[in-house]
Amino acid sequence: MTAGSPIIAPAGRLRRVEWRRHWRQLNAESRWGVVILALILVLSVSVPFLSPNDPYSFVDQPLQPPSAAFFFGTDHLGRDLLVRVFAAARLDIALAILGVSVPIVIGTFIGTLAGTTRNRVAETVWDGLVNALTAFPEIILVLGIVAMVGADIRGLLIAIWISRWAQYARIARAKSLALRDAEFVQAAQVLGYSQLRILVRHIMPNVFSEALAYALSDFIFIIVIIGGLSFLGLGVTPPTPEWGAMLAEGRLYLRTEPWLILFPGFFLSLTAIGVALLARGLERISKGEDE
Amino acid sequence: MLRLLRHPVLRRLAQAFFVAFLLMVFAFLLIRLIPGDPAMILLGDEATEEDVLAYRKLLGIDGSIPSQFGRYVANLVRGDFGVSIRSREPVLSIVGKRLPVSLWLTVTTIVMTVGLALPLGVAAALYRRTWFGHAFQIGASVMVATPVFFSGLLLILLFAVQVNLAPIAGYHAGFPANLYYLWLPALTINFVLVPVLARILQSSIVETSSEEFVEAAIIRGTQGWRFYWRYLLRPSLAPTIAALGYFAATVVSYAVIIEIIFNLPGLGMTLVDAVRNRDYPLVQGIVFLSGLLVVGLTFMADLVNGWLDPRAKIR
Amino acid sequence: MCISFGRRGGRKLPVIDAANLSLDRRQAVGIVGESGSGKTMLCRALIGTLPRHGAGIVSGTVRFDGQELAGAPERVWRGIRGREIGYIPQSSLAGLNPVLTVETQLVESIAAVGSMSRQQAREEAVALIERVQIPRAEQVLKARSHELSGGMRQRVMIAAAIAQGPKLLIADEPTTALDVTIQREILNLITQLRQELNMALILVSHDLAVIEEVCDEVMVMYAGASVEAGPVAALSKAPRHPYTRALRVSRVDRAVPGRDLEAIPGDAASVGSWPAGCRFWPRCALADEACRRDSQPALMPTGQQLSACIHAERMAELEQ
Ligand SMILES: Nc1ncnc2c1ncn2[C@@H]1O[C@H](COP(=O)(O)OP(=O)(O)O)[C@@H](O)[C@H]1O
Ligand code: SF4
Ligand SMILES: [Mg+2]
Repeated sequence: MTAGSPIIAPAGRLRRVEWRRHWRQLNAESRWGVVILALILVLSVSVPFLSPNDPYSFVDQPLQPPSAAFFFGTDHLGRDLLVRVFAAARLDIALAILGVSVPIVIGTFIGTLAGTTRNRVAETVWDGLVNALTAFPEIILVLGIVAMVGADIRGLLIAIWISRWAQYARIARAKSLALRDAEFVQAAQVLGYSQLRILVRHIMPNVFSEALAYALSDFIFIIVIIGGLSFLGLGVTPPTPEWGAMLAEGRLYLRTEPWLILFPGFFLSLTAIGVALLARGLERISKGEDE
Repeated sequence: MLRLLRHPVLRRLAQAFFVAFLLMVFAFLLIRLIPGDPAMILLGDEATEEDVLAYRKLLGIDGSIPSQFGRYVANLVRGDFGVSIRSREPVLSIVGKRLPVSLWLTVTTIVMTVGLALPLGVAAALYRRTWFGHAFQIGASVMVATPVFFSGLLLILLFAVQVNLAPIAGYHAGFPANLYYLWLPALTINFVLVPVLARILQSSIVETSSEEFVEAAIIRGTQGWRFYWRYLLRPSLAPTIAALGYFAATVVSYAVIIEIIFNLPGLGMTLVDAVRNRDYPLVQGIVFLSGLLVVGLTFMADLVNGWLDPRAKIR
Repeated sequence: MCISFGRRGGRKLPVIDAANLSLDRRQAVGIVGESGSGKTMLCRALIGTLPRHGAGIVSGTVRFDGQELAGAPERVWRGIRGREIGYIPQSSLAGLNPVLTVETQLVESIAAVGSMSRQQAREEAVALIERVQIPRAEQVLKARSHELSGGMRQRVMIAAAIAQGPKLLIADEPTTALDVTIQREILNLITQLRQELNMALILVSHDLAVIEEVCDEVMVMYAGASVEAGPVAALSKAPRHPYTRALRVSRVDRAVPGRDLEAIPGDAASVGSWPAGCRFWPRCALADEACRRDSQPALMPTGQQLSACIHAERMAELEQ
């Protein structure tokens, strides 16, 4: 900025400058991640919007290979695979965000609470609890809960929430253990703030940033669980367009019409790769490994 | 008694038992997640009072909660995991029948993991500044992010459809014939697992190689395999083994999906069928046992770790 | 000698660019300087392990018994390391492999000399352990690094370094991490072994007192350059470089209570941001315009020693 420019920039411009500043701080890995994710988001919004075809209805002869008319071909029920793949992108990404956001809040709160008590017995029991909950193989626990709650989207989300919060609680407890003796917390105590206020206003925000970093890798895991359970027919079920469910449908045509699995599988993997790149890039930035 | 707990192995064991107890509690609570009366859900609205009562007894949900829990624990200790609602067969005997397939899959997977991750991790560490190192990083990122149910289908497409090296699906018991049916499923799990472990091994070796004792060994004139094994690999193995224990849960998890894809009649397939059929006792039993299996595997990884690296033992 | 780290994009970052050191057979020379001044890098140059650390000798020579070693292939170095030059690495408390027993590592050192049966090598190891004055040799041989005290580990490292009867022993800060009584024992041990085995010694320390006790000659390093070198007695009695003087004053045993025991003011110049002129000028009380010009002054004879201070003569006056 030149010396003569106004100190207070118009809001829109400020935001643009902010964006550019953030972008410049990223390394190659995280930039690739951002580009990939942006591409998928744009496509998942625009493709179903621009295409005249509906993801649920028959449009043309079934099992057509990719062509100029249908970029990804048509599926076994004669639906436009392109539209279905990106309709699925919307649903999967939305579900994964929903799946991550509830455990992160619950887990962080419980973990911070656990981290700020100073009771030996409570600590031992706590360790056991979290160890036990995280000892269950993730997918098996989710399956178990889904079996009880119901094999549908609601059951799937509840299962994810119940089985994932402990990870965040673990992180939050470790971080808040370190924070509880930090200067600013003690300062707040000296000022006579209530325990709850210190917890919510002073400790939790700091713990939260740590949990967010983990949330990125958890996002990958959850999107795989959503796809996986739907693949098993126990989550999102046909005809709703969902990547895992589409793979399960397309699997029957593996020999002859492999594109039925290639397109949904590719974009599912690409989403996960985008998030993974972003997560790794950010991790390396925060460790100071890249300039 | 408390003095005994100072012994690290015994302390780990005590911890493992405590965790196993909590696993039991969770498994017990699982059936309470069912919204409404499980017996009614299973029987439908027209069920008679007697049927409902009989079903409650079958599910172990008659009487007060503490008495239910008491009976549940007592039964488990006696090895009674309940009875499948579908087949009326004891859960434990179903598990006993299906477990061998899953164990074979797990063992094949882990043998393959070690066989692939070890050389790959070492190579990635030694050649990390060459094209191989960069290709490894990119390849690993892509493989880790590919869901098993997609990579499994891709591998079938490649090995079973294109070149005829494996069956598309199915299983026949009996070693070594079963390996023909298991190698592709195991490879699919390793599609995710090997890159993760190889990466851990790689960074562990890189870290070790800047240790003072490596320099000391070089100056002493240690060379050849002895140098690589004693000074680079062995001190670096501990984190990798620990990770292998940590990923035991992941292996068991992915095995469920893999069994469905490859049509392997193991525990995973049984579980998925049980979920579809709302066979609550069977689900409960398998969830509990799989947790137990993971606790056991983690405990074993800890032991191996203590043997490989005395530094880990003193903690 | 100039040593640089290779950097991506071909830029090179010098860490040492004007260090000189020479010693005769059986002589003991000390290297002293603050941490980061390049002492360890210099030692690594002397045993040829710089490439492992991403560094290399850009110019200059390393000569041992008339043999040029700078840039020598690994094969040549293998014949030198251990056999001709023994080395005790810095922070040698981490110098033992934690997963191997002491015996395994000592036998490795011994076996490198020639063909020897397992039994012979074992006996030799026991003898070595006794030579570095460790009681209960059998027990220590079976131990692993974390089961030994700091002093014990250091003794084992010394045993490994002298196993092949080298002509020169390089000890990089052998006493830094130890407490005072153990420090003394280790120094005595090194002195004694040096006499018994007729070894020359290069002893690195950031503590001038340690050097004075053991060595005949000393070289002072600051920011990758030799700033003063000469007989120990001369440097400690009549330093001709302000940095040496500052090091001496900051010595514990000479400190006047309440006054002298202070760190040298200012921060050590760090690699990559050395000032122009004499590198010490930002911290030097005698610095003037002339000191800030040109580049690091070369060592020049003054008194009984060499000094890289352009005002060395004024130092001499001030000392009196
Ligand atoms: N691997 C490395 N990469 C870059 N710089 C290094 C590396 N190792 C050491 N240095 C730099 O080289 C300088 C000299 O280090 P060193 O020889 O260890 O100093 P000393 O032993 O005197 O404390 C230090 O300032 C350090 O920052
Ligand atoms: S040359 Fe100048 S700045 Fe450097 S030590 Fe001598 S007096 Fe100080
Ligand atoms: Mg050093």
